[in-house]
Amino acid sequence: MHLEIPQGGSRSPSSIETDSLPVKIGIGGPVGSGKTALVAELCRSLSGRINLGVVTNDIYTTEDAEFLKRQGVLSDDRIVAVQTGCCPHTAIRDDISDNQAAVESLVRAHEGLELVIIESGGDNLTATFSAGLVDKQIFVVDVAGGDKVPRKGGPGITRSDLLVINKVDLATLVGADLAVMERDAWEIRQGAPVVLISLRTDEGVIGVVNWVSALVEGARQMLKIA
Amino acid sequence: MDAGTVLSYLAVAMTTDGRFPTGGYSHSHGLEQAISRGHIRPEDPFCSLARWLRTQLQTVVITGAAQSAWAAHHSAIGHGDLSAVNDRSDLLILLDSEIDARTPSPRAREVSRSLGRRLITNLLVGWTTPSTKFAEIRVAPVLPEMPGLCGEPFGGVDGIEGALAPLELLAIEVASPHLSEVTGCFLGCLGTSPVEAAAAWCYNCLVSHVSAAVKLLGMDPVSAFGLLPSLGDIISDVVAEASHFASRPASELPSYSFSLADALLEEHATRKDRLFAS
Ligand SMILES: Nc1nc2c(ncn2[C@@H]2O[C@H](COP(=O)(O)OP(=O)(O)OP(=O)(O)O)[C@@H](O)[C@H]2O)c(=O)[nH]1
Ligand SMILES: [Mg+2]
Repeated sequence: MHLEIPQGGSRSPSSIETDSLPVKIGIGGPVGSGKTALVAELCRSLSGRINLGVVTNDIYTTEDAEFLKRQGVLSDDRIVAVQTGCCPHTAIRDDISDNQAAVESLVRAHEGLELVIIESGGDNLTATFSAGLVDKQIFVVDVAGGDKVPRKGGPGITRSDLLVINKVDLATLVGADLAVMERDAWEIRQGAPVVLISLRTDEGVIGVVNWVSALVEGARQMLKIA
Repeated sequence: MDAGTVLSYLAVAMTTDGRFPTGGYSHSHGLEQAISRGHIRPEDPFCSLARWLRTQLQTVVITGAAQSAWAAHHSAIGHGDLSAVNDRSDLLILLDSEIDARTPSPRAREVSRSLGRRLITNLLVGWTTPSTKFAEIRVAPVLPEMPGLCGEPFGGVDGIEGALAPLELLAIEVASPHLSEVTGCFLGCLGTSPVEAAAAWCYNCLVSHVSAAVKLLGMDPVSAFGLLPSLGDIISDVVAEASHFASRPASELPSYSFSLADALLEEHATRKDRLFAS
């Protein structure tokens, strides 16, 4: 299966396939870059056609889980919050026990679950998800952090399966050059997909929605063949 | 040093190393709430972390250490001794209910069981050595869902052989066993003595509190960890007393409790603004 990514390059088809359900997608990135807003958008766009659940990893409070519940994008029992004891990256990489337990509880409670989105607590550019926890990972940075961010690299930026550069609506306000960000991201990721979006204006968001739904569709097809 | 002894050291090292994934890093076992409530204030010697640790050691920790030592003693069987394994079943279930009876806080029981379940899953999936001959038969039923294990295509208790057989049995009999029992059972399977199992338990508990304190209070990590050797005499007494119960009837296991810590755990569980899961 080949995925159409509106911007950015493409990887070999085999690197964007998973063959089991639920597909587990991690969403990481620095504090405030728009992870929860993206999760909410994905739920809004996909919950009608994909059986899905969400795990949040708030650093403090259950703010993200509460936000998602308030948005009404998903029923409350499909949103599980995990506490990370001051270590957001440990929870998604070094000791994934609590997140695994949360995923298992969603799988148990919702028969035929097809997609679990795991939002990491806001962290730094080195945070990545363990392959034991997720099938694919999206890393979200924002324009407001300055146009140097993609160039800075770090595993989140270089190794994620999809890099999202959010808040393009703020580019002129913060003096960030989107062309530079896109070019640097392409270069450092050696052609792996990058999307520039604004969750405020909806610009480009369909690219992420399509990327995620194509993964689930791919897994559905693989299961049919098997 | 023979291979068995090396394995037993490796087992202790792995279960006491915070880097081995068990979910333990996200628990402060009441310490976060104790700090919020002002029960721990590093600048006040009467409310110091050392004092908190001492009280923990003499109550909750010694109670758990005795459970671990008891489990280690009753899991130490000769490899492949199937009849001995079958006899263990009732004892392991008995210990489970004795631990419940000695853990007054419902939240503490819940935490202990969820950590125990995670540890036993990870050990049964991850610990394969030449002396655990039943690797093939055990992987299938344990993953991904432990409760489904009970009575599933396992081939029954008769199908068990090998060093980790008692641990396997525990996973079959109790869906989410207590952490102290899982730890002791695993160590006992690998030939670790009850004394070592009790010491390992003390170390694990103390390190949970100390590393949470380093994060929550911004304490100097060297002086925080330095509290461990400074409590050496107490730890030594606790280990000696706890391991003494290893071969006594389970009903005689100690049941010291720390009511303030229990109350704090319950209160903490209702908080929305918490960093730690307990
Ligand atoms: N202008 C603008 N604001 C955005 C955009 N996306 C998100 N925001 C805002 O940015 C703030 C942070 O968004 P969140 O979705 O909470 O970010 P997060 O990455 O989940 O944050 P943490 O979970 O705290 O790390 C919120 O106030 C959002 O409304 C965007 O595209 N443009
Ligand atoms: Mg968020």
